[in-house]
Amino acid sequence: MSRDQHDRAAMSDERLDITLREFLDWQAEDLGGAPDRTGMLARVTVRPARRPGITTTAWRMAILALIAVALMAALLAVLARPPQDPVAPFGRGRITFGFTAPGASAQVLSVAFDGSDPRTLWPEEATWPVVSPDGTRVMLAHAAGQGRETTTIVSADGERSWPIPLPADLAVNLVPGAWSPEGDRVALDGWSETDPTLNGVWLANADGTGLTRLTHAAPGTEDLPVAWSPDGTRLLVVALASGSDTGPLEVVPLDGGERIRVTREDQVVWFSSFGPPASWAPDSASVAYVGIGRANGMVGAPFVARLDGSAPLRVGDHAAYDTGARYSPDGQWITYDRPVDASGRHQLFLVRPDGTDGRQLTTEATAGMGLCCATWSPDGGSLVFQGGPDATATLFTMALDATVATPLREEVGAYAQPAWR
Amino acid sequence: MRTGRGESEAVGHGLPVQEAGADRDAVLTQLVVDHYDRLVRLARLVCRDGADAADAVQVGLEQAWKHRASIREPGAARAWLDRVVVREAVRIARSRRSWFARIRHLETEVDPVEPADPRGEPSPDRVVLRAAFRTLTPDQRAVLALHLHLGYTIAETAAIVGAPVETVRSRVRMARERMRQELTGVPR
Repeated sequence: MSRDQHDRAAMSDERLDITLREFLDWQAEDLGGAPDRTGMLARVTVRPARRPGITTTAWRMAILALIAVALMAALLAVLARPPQDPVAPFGRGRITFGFTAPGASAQVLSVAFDGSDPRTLWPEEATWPVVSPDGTRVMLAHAAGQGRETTTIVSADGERSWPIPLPADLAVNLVPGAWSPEGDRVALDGWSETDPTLNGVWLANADGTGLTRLTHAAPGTEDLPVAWSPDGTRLLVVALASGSDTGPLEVVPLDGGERIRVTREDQVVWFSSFGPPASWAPDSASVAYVGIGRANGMVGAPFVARLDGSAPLRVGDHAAYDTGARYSPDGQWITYDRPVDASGRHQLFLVRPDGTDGRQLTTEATAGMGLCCATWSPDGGSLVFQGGPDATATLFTMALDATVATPLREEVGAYAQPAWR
Repeated sequence: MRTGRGESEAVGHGLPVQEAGADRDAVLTQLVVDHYDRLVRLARLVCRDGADAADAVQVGLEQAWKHRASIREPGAARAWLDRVVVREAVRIARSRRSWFARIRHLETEVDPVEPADPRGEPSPDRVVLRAAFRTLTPDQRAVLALHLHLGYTIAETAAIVGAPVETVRSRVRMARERMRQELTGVPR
């Protein structure tokens, strides 16, 4: 340590506060002028998809009243419709997603692959849906009273539910993480503001019973499970720094074995409402992820790590705020998105896991806007993704051999975690 | 409590409620004149973005206008407005994880070259502090802005952000230590 460093290290709180006050006064003026926002009253507001706030009783009553009215209207509409083949909307799976309309609370919705048959899966504010491998159930996060949050598993039609009770003697919240490949267990992100020693991965049976703890997160971090390996033996976990939205990606064996770091030492992954930042190959032998340089802002690139001790392979170009890195169901392709020009608008890309055959899948002409956060259809022939010109977005689907996307939803707002099963 | 720069003499009183006829525009204008500059600076520190800050302030002023009849206690208006704006600013700052936001803010987030500052070259310490401040969470930036920039006590800050006093004290301590570490290169 230099003498100058030593002198500054000894800086008193009073001296530091004076320095910080001067800095804050300067910084408050340093962030650009406030533009004229006339006409922006209706700007779309977006909420963090994770950890929903607790609505007041009045709001809940109002929301329930609105839902009741909507359900009545939907019922009347159904009764007035001619009979349809009940299997058709489910024949190519359903798409589940979180959605927050402007000025409204977060909801979890499910629609048929063609956008028909919309269903609200939880009557109150809910978010962060994670769909079971067979598509029959969805786990979602919602308020549990007394400022806590928990997870409930809901049938895909919204008819049945299996809550995961919070331990009465532990101030832990349980947020959806990942499903086991058989769909009989779930991994949950356990976290606590008042007792961070409870932070870690928790496991439960899919009927809400058998809550156990798998990991104890390192101090100052949380363990967020993002994917269960197809062979059922390991979890992909983001060791998220508390208060941050990035952290290294690790593999956690379910048998209690040693954790293995997936990302390079100089990399982290970004945990956001745009879906998991990593995915398993179907053979459980490798992991695709978007790695962000620790010292490089939010600039990253898609990588494939083979989990055999070899260095992760970069399979796409570096860019800002890449998301995706999701294996196709057959493991032959990885999709991700990145900005394609100075406008910052993202487009979708495909690449083989070995880095070959990389190509841009969508263009501005695909939907007339930026696109991101794609996930695969069950047959691997199509994608569902978000698109929006600026402060609005909606969902689209597109077959891989098509050139124009099909709007799935007309309603604009904040979408999160779309999944197609 | 320290007084923020650019604050008018009217700050510290309740919100105006007489808006009959043509006076309505004048009353609304006075509300903006009294509080806008301070609120924008506060929101900027939390959001780290001028446009987001303006949005947060707009929400605050809309709320103030809707509830103006209920806020007549002398001195209550300032803290009430600060509370609405800082909470909205934290909400917006958190929502920057959203896809919309990352596109809107792409250039400011990833531009490797800081834009030229018309006030001249910042000192090395400020460059370091600016980089460190950027890494704080919205909640940490909010309590630092309220406590150190606007001069609220810890208890007042806790009431404004709606968190327990100990939580706010912890946030301030963590943020302060982070800044100290970046400034000195040595944690304390």
